[in-house]
Parts: sequence; C-alpha cells; structure tokens
Amino acid sequence: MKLAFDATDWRGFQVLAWTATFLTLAGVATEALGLKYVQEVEWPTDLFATAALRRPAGIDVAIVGSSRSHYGFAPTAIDACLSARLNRPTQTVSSNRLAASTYATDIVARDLFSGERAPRVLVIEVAPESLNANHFELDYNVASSADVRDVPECVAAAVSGPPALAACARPLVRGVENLAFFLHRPLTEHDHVTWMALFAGGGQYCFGTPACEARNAEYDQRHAGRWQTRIERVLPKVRAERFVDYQVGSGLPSAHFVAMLDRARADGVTPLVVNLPVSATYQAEVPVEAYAAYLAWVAPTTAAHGGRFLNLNMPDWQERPEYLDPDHLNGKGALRLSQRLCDEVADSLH
Amino acid sequence: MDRQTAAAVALALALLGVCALLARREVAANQRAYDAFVSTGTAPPAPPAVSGATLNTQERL
Repeated sequence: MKLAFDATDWRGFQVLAWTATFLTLAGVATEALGLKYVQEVEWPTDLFATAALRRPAGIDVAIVGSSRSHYGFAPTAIDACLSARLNRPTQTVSSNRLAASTYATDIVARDLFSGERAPRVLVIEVAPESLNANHFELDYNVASSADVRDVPECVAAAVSGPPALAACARPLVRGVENLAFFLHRPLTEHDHVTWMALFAGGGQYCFGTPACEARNAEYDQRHAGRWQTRIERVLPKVRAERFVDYQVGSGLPSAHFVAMLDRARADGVTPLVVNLPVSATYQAEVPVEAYAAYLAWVAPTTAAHGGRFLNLNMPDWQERPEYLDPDHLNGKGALRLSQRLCDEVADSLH
Repeated sequence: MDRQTAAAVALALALLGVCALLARREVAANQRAYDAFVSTGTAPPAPPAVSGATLNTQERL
C-alpha cells in the first residue's frame, strides 16, 4: 500500500512541529531564568532557586528534603548558633521540595549544591516514605524535578505504565507550566515568602528578631486547626497511600540517595543523613515492618557511602506541643531541632 | 510555511517573549534585593506579616 499525504496532512504535521518547538523554547527560556523549581504552592524554594543560581559560593550548611525539613530547620537559628560556636559568620540554606522522595532531593542537591557550589555539610532529610521504591508521589517528583538528561533513566524505570511515562516526558514541556504558575501567582503577593528566601536562607520559621518571633507566632496561631484537620483528612490514608508495597533499597529513590552520598563525598562534602521526627500520632500509622526495613537499610548504606546517620525520630521528639500537624514541626519544634543540628555539625565546620 | 502558519508562529513567539520578560523582571527584582543585602552586609529588613493568600496555598504541605 502506498502512503500518500496531501497538503492538509502536511499542514497538520507543521502545526505539531511548531507546537513542539514552541514548548521546547518555552522550557529552555523558563529554566534559564532560574525558574525550574517553581511549585504550585508558594514556598521559599521557588525564590531561593532563583536567587541561589547566582548566590556566591561559601555555603556552610545546605539542607535538602521535603516539607518536613522545610518546617523543621530554621537557617537563621542554625546560623546564630554556629556563628557563636565558630566565632565567624556562617551561611545555612534550606531548599526543599513538596512531597519529596530522595529522587527529588538528589536532583535539588545536584542542581544547587554540587561542584563549585558545594557546601561544607549537606544535610539530607530521610523518612521511610522518601526511600520507598513505590513512593506515593514519585511521578510528581519525576515530572517536577527531572532534567532532559534524566529521561532515559526515567523511561527505563517507568514500570508502572503510561502515568510514569508521561511523567518522564514532562521535563520536555515543564517550562510552560512553570511560567504559567510563576506569572499567575506573582510572588510579590507573598512578601514574607520572598523575605524568607532572600534574607533567612529559606525554611518556614525565622528567629533572632522580635519581628521573626511575632511572625512565627502569627503563623502557628493561624494554623491552630491544622492538627485536627490532618488527623481527619490525612492520617486515615497514610498506610494505604504511603506504605502499600513498601520497598527500600531498590528503585529510583534509593539509587538517587546513594548517588547523592557519592557525589557529596567526591565534592569533599560531609553528608549528614537525618531521620526527622514525626509525632507519636503519625508514627502509629507507619507499619512496624516497613519502618524496621527502612532503618535496616538506610543506616548501613549511609555509612558505607561516607555519610553519618542521625536518627531523631525518638520518643523525646514525638510530643504534641512541638508539632503543627502530625508530621510537621511548629516554631517551637523547629527551634529545638535547629539547635540540635547545630550541635551535630559544628565540629565539621572548624 | 504559508502566511497563516507564519502568523500563528509569530503570535505564539511574541506571547512567549512577553511572558519571559515579565518573569525576568520579577526574578531580577529578587536578585537585586539579595545582592544589596549581601554587598552592604546590613541587617535584613523586618519580615512582613503572613498573608491570607499564602496560608491558602500552603494547605497542601
């Protein structure tokens, strides 16, 4: 059978070709502006990424993780503590991704905190969910974090079918989405987010001035109902959503966790892997066998690849008054956690 | 490429250019604020209050 194309067919191909060209150009332009990390929530990561791409070297402590480290680590508190210990100014930054697995965490570390811009200490937040090969938001992680160079690996690992393959293709067209998010929700409408990103190293809470303390109190007060809301809406889904078919030590999150440790070591960075605390209420929803498998893998793997593992998910860190909701610390908890991190990393910075 | 296609492509590229310029202006403003903070070494301005709009968008976290 002979294939024949008339003028109308070619016109259709032209439209497709120009559409693809347009999307690619938009993607290149958007990411060249430093807007790769725009997220559909207003969060300092967006702005930090724009500033960080041209931020001078000399970062002492870089923190990468999910919303838990976004709430839990306060760079201003860490720097106040470190500066007093070391008798010099220090620079701590926190750059986190919504619902991040260690796949997304690694890409943030690779993009922002490697090579010439490597920090002296890289703090990596981990949790049993973040290393699950079947992470509940893995497709979202891939779609929002991967680069074009990551597509082949992604396609090879996309065993879950069309949704995973679609996520792999998003780096090719993500620029249009990011540009739309960025322009639709001008960041100037969120002055305090801009301020945190530019002047406080990111994170949710800041410390050291009366204005910061007042702002923290205002935030926690406005979110007073969040604990109960999350108990009703999130906790009932935790087991079924986050721990179904739990696998650690295989898949993209574990592979990228190891790659992150190896890159840190090659850059001369001290990696500190922190198992962040969650409340006892949340921990009760984590299957015991999954948690045991996670600890049995992450601690020795961290040590084998040159890192240090710090487990803070202990009973004395799981009490209700330090939590905004069952798995995110409030201002009080963030201050305590930040001081503890200072204790852990100070010796590495002498 | 016929005239209609050329017109559509030109329009799309013009829209993209305008969007990129708007985004560029926003990014540059942030960068200037950060550079001024770093170069002068002065204390940062006081943090602004939390806005209701931001609270709504952070509900997903």
